[in-house]
Amino acid sequence: MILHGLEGRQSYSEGTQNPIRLNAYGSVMAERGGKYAEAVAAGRVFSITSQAAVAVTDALATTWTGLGVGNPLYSGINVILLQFSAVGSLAKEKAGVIGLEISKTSMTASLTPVNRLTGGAAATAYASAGQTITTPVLWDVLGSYGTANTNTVGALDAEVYDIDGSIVLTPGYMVAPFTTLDSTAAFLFSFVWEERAA
Amino acid sequence: MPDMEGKVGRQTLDAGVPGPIRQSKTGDLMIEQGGKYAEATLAGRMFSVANQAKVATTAALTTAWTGLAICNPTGSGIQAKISKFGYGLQIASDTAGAIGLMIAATATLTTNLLVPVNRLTGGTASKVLASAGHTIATPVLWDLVGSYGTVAITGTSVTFTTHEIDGALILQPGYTLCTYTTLATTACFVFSFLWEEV
Repeated sequence: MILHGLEGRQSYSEGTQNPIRLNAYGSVMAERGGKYAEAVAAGRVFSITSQAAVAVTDALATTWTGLGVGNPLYSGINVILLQFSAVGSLAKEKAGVIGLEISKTSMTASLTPVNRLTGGAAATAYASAGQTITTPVLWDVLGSYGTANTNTVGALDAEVYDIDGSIVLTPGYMVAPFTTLDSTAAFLFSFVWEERAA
Repeated sequence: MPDMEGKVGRQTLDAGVPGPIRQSKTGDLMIEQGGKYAEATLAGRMFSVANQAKVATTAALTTAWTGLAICNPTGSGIQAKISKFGYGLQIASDTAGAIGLMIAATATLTTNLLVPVNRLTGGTASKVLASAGHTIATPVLWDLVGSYGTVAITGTSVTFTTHEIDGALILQPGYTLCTYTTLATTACFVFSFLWEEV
């Protein structure tokens, strides 16, 4: 069976069924755009950002602080992590490796995530800047951090890591930044995620 | 000859029920993109491993190797499609050189074992083995990822050092993927790998 489309840009009405658009070489034309745009337009994408510099605890500490996102028990959803970013807003006390750690902890809500479709429904996932957690495991090594103050460097690249859906939090798990050593409040973090029915 | 037809606008389709493919008003095929690893992660096929503490590395193509390695053991019945590699300096390195990835025809790992995690939290165990140090067959350097030096990391703010392999390396049964550093280092690096098992 040979499938046929129609060459060239068409002008169809909502709800009608029509041939798929082809280019002059016979390739199927696909509307791409921002890869998260459809999920955002459907109201499924959320984020949380530190609103002020936060202190971080060292390595796999269970008396954890920083910024975390958790999928509460019995939520009925999976949390598909999309992006993580970390910046220094002040000089940090110590230097080390930065990464992402996972803990089997049902987080207590304390911060308010936002729907990336402005005005959209509230998130089911929770966010927090610190609580006692079950011993985490380091999952992703992302780079290093130092003690340089931002007033000693020029403009830096955005340190944004495209998790790209490669971590899915099932109910009862949380993700948080990992830093080898603790620091007084100097970091700002953010997470972006998609929520889908489990 | 049948047309490849779509239907303009967002559909509301139930699981298991055939429906028209969505198209735009210009006839383009509409594609749900989202996180590119999300479907594989939700299906429980994505895995990762990270050193949980800084590790010493051996020089270049040394067979008495240390660092971070993953091995697809003979008889596993799977291929490991490598997706991402991350590294960070926890403290200043004592030597300088290139950092990369190398492959050895080593069919199992039995010492200094690490436990890979399923990126769908709570998912099934990986068939891939991981180690922080093992005797390996003479490796071949495959990928150059960057350089490392002896400058104190305290001079930085936050620097992400991750490499998107994007499936450009597939580990067949009987092969091991290892980290490469030109010169040996005392414990200063932490590494991670992300892969899909199919």
